[in-house]
Amino acid sequence: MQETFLLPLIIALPLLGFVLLGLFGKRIGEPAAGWLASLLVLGSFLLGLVLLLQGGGRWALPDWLPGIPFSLNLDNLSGVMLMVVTGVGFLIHVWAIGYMHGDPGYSRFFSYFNLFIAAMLVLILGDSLPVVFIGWEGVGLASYLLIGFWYHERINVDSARKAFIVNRIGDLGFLLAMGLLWSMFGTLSISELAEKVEAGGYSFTTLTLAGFFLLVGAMGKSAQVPLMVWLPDAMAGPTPVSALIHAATMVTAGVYLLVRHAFMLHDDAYLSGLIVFIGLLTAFYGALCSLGQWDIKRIVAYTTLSQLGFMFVAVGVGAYWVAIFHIVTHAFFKALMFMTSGSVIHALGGEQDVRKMGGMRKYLPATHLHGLIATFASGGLVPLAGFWSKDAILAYSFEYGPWLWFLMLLASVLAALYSIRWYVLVFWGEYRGKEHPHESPAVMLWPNHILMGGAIGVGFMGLPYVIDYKNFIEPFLTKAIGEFPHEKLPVLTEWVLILTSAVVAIAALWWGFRFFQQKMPAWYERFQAAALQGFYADALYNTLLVNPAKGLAELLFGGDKGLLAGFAGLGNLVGGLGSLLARLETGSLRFYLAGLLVALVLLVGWGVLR
Amino acid sequence: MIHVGLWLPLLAGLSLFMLPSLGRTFAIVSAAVSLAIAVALFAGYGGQGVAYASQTPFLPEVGVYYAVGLDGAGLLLWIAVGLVVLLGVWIAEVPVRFLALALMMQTGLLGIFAAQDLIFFYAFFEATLIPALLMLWFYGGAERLKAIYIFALFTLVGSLPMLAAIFAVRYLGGAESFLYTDLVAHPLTGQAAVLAFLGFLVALAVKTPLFPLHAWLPSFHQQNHPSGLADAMGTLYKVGVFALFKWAIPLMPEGFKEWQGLLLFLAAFGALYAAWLAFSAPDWKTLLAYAGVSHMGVAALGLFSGNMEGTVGALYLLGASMIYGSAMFLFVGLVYKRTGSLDILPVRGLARHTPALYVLGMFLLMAMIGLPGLSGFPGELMVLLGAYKVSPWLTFLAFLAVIAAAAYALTAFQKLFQETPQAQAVPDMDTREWGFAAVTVGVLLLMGLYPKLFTVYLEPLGKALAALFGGAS
Amino acid sequence: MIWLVASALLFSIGAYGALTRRTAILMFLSIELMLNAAALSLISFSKLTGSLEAQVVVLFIIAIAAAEVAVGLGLIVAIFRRRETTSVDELRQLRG
Repeated sequence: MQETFLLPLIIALPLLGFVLLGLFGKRIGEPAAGWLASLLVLGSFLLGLVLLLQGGGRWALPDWLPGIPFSLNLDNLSGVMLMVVTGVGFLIHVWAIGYMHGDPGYSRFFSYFNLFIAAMLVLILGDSLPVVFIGWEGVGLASYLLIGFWYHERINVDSARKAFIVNRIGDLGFLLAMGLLWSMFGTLSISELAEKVEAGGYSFTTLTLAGFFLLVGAMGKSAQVPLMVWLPDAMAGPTPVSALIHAATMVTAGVYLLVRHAFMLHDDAYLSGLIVFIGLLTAFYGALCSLGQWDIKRIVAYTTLSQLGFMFVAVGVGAYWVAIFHIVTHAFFKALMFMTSGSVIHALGGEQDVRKMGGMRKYLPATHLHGLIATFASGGLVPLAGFWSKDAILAYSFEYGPWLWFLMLLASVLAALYSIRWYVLVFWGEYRGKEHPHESPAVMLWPNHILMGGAIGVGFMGLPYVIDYKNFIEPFLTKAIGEFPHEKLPVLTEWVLILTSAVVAIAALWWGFRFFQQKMPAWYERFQAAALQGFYADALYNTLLVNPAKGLAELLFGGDKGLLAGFAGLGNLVGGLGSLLARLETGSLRFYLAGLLVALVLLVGWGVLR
Repeated sequence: MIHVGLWLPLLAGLSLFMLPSLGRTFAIVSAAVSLAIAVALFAGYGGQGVAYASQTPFLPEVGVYYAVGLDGAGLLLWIAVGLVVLLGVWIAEVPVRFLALALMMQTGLLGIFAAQDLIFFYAFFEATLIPALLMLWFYGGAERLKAIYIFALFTLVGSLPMLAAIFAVRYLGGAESFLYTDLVAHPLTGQAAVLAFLGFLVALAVKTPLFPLHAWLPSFHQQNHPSGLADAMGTLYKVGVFALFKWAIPLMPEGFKEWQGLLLFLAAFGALYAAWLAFSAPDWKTLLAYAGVSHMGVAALGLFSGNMEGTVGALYLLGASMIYGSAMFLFVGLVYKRTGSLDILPVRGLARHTPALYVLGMFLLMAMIGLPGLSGFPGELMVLLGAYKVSPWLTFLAFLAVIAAAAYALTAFQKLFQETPQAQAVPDMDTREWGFAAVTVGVLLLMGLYPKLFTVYLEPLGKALAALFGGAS
Repeated sequence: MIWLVASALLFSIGAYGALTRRTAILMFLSIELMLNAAALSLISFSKLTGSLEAQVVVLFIIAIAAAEVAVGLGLIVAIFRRRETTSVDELRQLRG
């Protein structure tokens, strides 16, 4: 690993796109702006690939702040993330060239899109925590700008604002983690922290606290319960945004942060247990809510939430490489799912309600194929990508405890159900709307073809050991994450688990396929009404947090005016004292004389007594 | 050269005031020259201690010298002042005499940062008040008289204990003169230090502003001229953190230690309190006033931590917030120019007509709420690192403000720029405003991405302060 | 010694008079009485301690008292001409 200038260049390319398109976007125009942005991302991808094949790289500017360098680090872990972000990012950029066609803010869109990639790269490549934080909040900014892209609609801006504020709650956790780690170790470079923690001699509880703070940050960015409320509303942004930011990349940043700090987590049973709990909660919450949505993007958004929960469980049970593996497979099939949804929306001229869809397999054959593969991958059908990473999570969960494995299996069943529901409502049956669906242009189809290939094939780099085929990704990632001794499950158990999840997935997909084609029974309707509202999470937060906070602001505002009045009152007090004293000015000579004599007596008396 | 830099604005201002026909260009040239001098002084700085020092006896029998000099903090703040004044006189739509007043105030501000003699420091500290009051009186709003009363009384009544403390510091400490070097060699101890520090504190808490002595600030900003120039100068006048760093703490370290706990609490509480209630602000001036209190609370928190990180953070944040705070006021002045109002409601949806202004506003807003990569962040981070070592809980309390800041800033911004446009067409930025935008954004990015430029000089100052308390770093 | 008592007595009489008399002339008289009482006590002290400074001070007192009486009586006459009264209770214009 050597010092190389190419590393900051990887970030500089999309940043350049942001600046150029921001300043000259109108002049560059459609579709050149889109192609420029896409090619810059491709450039980052290729540059990163070259560096990665050379074994990685580092770059640092010492003493950027006293005691804190501005350092970047490309190792296997950040390399994999880099490939995903720039690779999938490139495909989504190209797709967006078609999707955003005709939008008056075309260049502005790609400017922000490039900004996002640049910030995400800073996040991934940062070795010094403040640098990671620059990327962390940077992606938050890009997310805000992109969710609220069509800012003339109040709902879009409100959603963007909500996302930013909820993210900031997590950011506070990140900040506190930095404060604690600095006071404990005197450094904020992740590589140095890893060494110091491994060396030992620190307070265990303090380290747990630091890990907890980082967890809070991760929960905000990765929309875990209870900080998940921003993700469904983030669907207000254009579909490419949902695909790139809120499925494939930004939301996985929390998982990435935790994996990067695996050295802090792997010995900590409490923290890891908490992570498992949060992940489970989110996995179920997301899945159940998805089953009740009518907006096609919200359906997929909640599925993302659920899969993020899976990733957190993976981190919690110590399966760090598996969490990253799942990020990779998920990026492919979720982006595919979003972009397929986008193609359908585009085909129907903007319709997003699945109740007005259906039968798309007849009108959009290519998109239908994409959707089918996305469904199968998301549902965990063997041998697609989604199966292998999910199965690895299940295997590690089994080691943690068979009860966990069972719950995760249940969550996988729900995953299959929501996937097939999406498919059935959009593509199967008869078309329930009135538009004239037309297939997408080539510029939108080709990225989906590639993603489809990925959704099918990417899983094969991480096969379980019992299958006699090399697992590439585990050793590749473990080299960077850290070697944590791990007992392999006995061969028989492993095979039983694999077969069980395979069979369960097929059964669930099949059952769901039948179930969602019929009219919904009453119990489902009741369930669905609650799920549609996210089980009233937003209403709960509004009552418990948002409205009291606003009320407190009003109260304090009035209070501050009262403070000023208080100071004025102090002045009045002095005035009052003055008028009291003024009463001595009676104008009566005898009064003055009397006063003089009294004073004389007192003075003499004091002089005598001394 | 330091003398030229110090007195040029006053002379230029006086000339301009008496001969307004010299026009705005004269003011711009003067401000530009001042900034150039500040930058040149910075470039020529050796890196250690007080540079460009000079002293001449003024009242030698009493030990008063005309002594000036600049260290790392002073240079940073000279550049900040120079930049803001230049931006202000360039962009603000005000009568020429107003610009003259701003220039005169500049000398006062530069003197506060450069003074190496305590009496001269006090003189500059008080003298700067005069142009500020004049700006408020001649060009303020309908209820400016009340604002003047409040502003003047708070400042003056606060300064009297400081004057008493100044004499106590010299005569009880046993120093030979009022020079900084002499005074620092004779720090006060014991009960005298505690009381003298309180004396300094009262005046400087008004000027930070530190909760609860911030109550003068909202009316000050509300009544000032809507162009934002007087508010920008007022933002530069928030010198409390600097004065505490340079004079109060080094001269009475024992006194500071006594008050440290309370001060940390007030700073942290004030930071959160102001950010929270800014959400209810009905107009931009009030919002920015409270935002300023919040930022200064964070900076004060860093300084009161008494360690290297906190001090570096406090000074950096001070410089940064002077720039983005003032720029934000001037920006609001640009909005006023177009809409004739500073109220946050009704919704205006300006972005459709003024996209460039919208982007500029976004940059400034993001700098204000401490987005990493922009100038607000490095200072805030260093404050966090320093304050956490001393009090994790108060750090948590203060930094809840980052959530509150996002809430008030984005909500107000949304109402002004986003949502359905009601505004009639208004012009977007003209060339002059583009220049303002370019310079401001450039500085925000420079200070955000390359803080090393300044922190390398602030670090030894921070270490020196920490050494007063046993070298905790 | 007895002179001290005498001067104290004189002083109290003068004080009583100054506080209770309404007419300006009588108040003035009482003040003169107090002044002379002070002079008397000074002389007694001079005799007791043998110091001469006290006697010098008494000379000063006598001289100043004379001057003061002149000015004061002149003021009273002027006031009487203006206001037709010398009752101090009615002379209250300097009230705060």
